[in-house]
This record gives sequence, structure tokens and C-alpha cells, in this order.
Amino acid sequence: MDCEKVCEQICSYLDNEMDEQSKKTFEEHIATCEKCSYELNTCSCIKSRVQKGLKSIKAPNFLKQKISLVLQNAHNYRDSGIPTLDLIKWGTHVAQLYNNKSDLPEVLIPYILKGLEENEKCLWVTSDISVSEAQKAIIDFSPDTEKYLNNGQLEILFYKDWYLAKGQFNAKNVIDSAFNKYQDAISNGYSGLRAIGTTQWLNMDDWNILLDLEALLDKSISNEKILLICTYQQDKCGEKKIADIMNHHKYVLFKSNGLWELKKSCMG
Amino acid sequence: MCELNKQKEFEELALPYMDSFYSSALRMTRNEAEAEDLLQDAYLRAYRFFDKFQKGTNFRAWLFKIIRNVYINKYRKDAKVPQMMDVSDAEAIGSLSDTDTPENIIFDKLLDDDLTKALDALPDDFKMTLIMSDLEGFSYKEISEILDCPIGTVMSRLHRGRKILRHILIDYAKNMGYIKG
Repeated sequence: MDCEKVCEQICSYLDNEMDEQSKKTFEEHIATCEKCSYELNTCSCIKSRVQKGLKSIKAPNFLKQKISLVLQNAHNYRDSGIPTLDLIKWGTHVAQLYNNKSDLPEVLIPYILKGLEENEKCLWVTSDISVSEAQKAIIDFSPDTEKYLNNGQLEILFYKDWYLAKGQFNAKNVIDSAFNKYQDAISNGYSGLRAIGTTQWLNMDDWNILLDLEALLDKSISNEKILLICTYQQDKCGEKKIADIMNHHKYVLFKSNGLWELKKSCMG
Repeated sequence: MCELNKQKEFEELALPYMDSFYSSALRMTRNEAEAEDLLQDAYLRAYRFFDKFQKGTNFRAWLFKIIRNVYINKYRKDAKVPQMMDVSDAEAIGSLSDTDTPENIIFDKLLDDDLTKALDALPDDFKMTLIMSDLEGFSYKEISEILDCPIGTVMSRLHRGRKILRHILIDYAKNMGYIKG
């Protein structure tokens, strides 16, 4: 047995992963080779130091009760379809900050597809991309989606037909329409409403109206079977507006180094 | 299965591992609040998919795999940022022939904080493999199933991870004056 091979096997020996025959051959070599014996000793010191340093730390007492309680309410959690966001409770209000309109489908399509799979009514209100572009994007991603567009489980609307359907943009009109949609969804046997809102079309002078709407939405959906993602174009929002967004949503999704990351707001 | 029985069965299986998994979660996130959130998210996810768990197979490894996946998707920061350390450089370690002090005595003088720092400096995959082997005591086969990689990769990560750790710890020991530089 040569020394190089023995060195490669040191971990297996220390971790008790060797069969009896290999162990015997290994030990015979170690007994006669000073260099390999030294390597074994060093590796063994590291392993025992790591084991000693990584000693088990007891979980805080409240954690078991807390998790037990969460499990009791498991039916209130939905799969967001977005790995970074994972499972979220009904009533969760999320903001997505994006730079290019190509960022939108990365988050919104898996979110919608998961909702359709979980028997939720899905409503996507768009302004950055047209309704037909949104439909094409989602069908290209999952051809099966066409049937949901046809049977009405998935509805894609242009912002004018949603935010301005009753004339002027105001918070109350939007909330009323949203709750009508929600009631319809429940009476049609869906498990809830999964929605996407858009803000890109708004004149930033309307920021305060938008904040009124976000505050009202946040309050009114919190105990309902509704999930909502509001999309914000990041370069239209300065620091102050980003802080406002943080204050009105439980989570904010943003892109960093090409990956979607999550910030939990202080409301979370 | 009724919901109450499902929860009872799940808790009986999963809660006893919480202490040990909390330690791992803490090593992964380096933050108590995040370790608690990570376990809560992972236990909830495992519970939702409990129907998919094949009875009689390895529940502990199944649950740990979920914890690791939730960690990677939701909690790991700078996930794809290349590690600062050049692994091959670190592996080319010098010998300790200039000292007669056995390494176990030198390493014992170092604080647990030094060890934590050294572990955190390892590439994430190496650190995770060491946690699974030396903290959780998973076998190579279990680790390879959790990580979805060949056993050879597990062996190589442990081998290289321990070598790099040794290098870092020796540097600490030199800085502390336990070994002549």
C-alpha cells in the first residue's frame, strides 16, 4: 500500500467508514510508516477538536412549543412557489423590487403556477408588460396554463381595467374590487385568492394615494385567504420610498448578485 | 390520516432531533433568531410533505435534508460569491517539524470561538459536510444522500476541509504565540 493511498483513506478510518479488511491493511501500514502515522495523528486531532468545538447547544425551551403551534396552523400556510420566500401565511403582503421588466416573470410565474396547482384563484394585474405578453410568458413556461386562462382560474388584467375601472384611482375602489374578486373565488370553490398588483404606471406624485391603498390592503387582507405581491420598479423609488415600501409589506424581495433575496420588514 | 394524528406522529418523530438540529442551524446561520426561524420553516415544510416521507426509511436524514435546502434557499447569504480562500493554497500546508508540541495540545489551547471562525472561513460545502459528520454523526452514505452527491465527494470534502481547518488553526496558534512562527 503506498503512502498517497493511505493518506486518502485517513478520514474513512477516523470516521469508522472502513471495512475490516481495509482497516487491517491500513493499520499495518501506519504501524510501519512514520509519515503516515503523523498524518493520521494530525487529522485525528483536528477531528476531535472540531467535535469538541461543535458541541451540541440545546434549543431554547420555547422553540418546541412555538413550532408545535405553527404545525397546528399548518393549513394557513401556502407554498409561495418562490424558493426564497418558501411558505407564507394567508394574509401575507409582499413587495417585489425589480430593475428590468424581465425580472418580473422570474418571481411572478412560479408564484402563479404554484397558486394554480393549489386550487387558488389567481389574479395578475400588469402594467410593465401587456396582458398578451404576460399570457405568452406563462404559457411558454408551462403550456398547461392555457386551460386555467380559459376556465377563469387565472385572470390577467391590464392596470387600467383594474385600478381605473371605476374612474379615478382611489384606495377604496381598489379594495372593493379586490374583495369582490375574493368572495367570488371562495364561492366558486377556490381555496383563496393569490394576487399580483403593479405600481409602475403610477405617477410618483400619487405616492400618497398608493401608500393609503397599501396600508388599507395590509390591514384588510391580514385575516383573509389572500396572498398579494406588489411590484415596484426600483429605480423609480429613492431611499425614502423604499423605506415606505418596507413599512407597508411584510417581506420585500430584491435582486442581489443575480439572485432573489428576502428582507423581512419590521412588521414581520 | 386525521390532522391531529398526523401532527402527533410527526412531532413524536421530529421534535426529539430539535436540540441537535438547532446546533447545526446555529452553525449554518450564525445567528440565534435565524436558527430558530430556519428550524420553524423547515419543520413546517417537512410537516406539509410528511405524506411523501416513506415510512421505514431514514427520517432524521430526510428532515436534515429539508433543513439544509431551506437554509440554502432562504437563509444563506452571499451564496454564489466565490470564496475568498484559495483552497489549493491552503492545502499546501507546511509541516510542524519546528515544534515538539503535539497538535492536540496546541489545538486545545485555542478557543471555541477560534474554531467557529475557522469553520466559517471554509467553503460552505466543506463546512456543511463537517457539520453533518462531526456534529450530527451522519454516515458517509447518509451525507451523500442528503447532499445528492457521490460518497467520493463526501470523502474528499471531509479530507480537504480538515486539512484547511488545520492550516487555519495553526495560523491562529502562531498568532497567539503557542507555536513559533
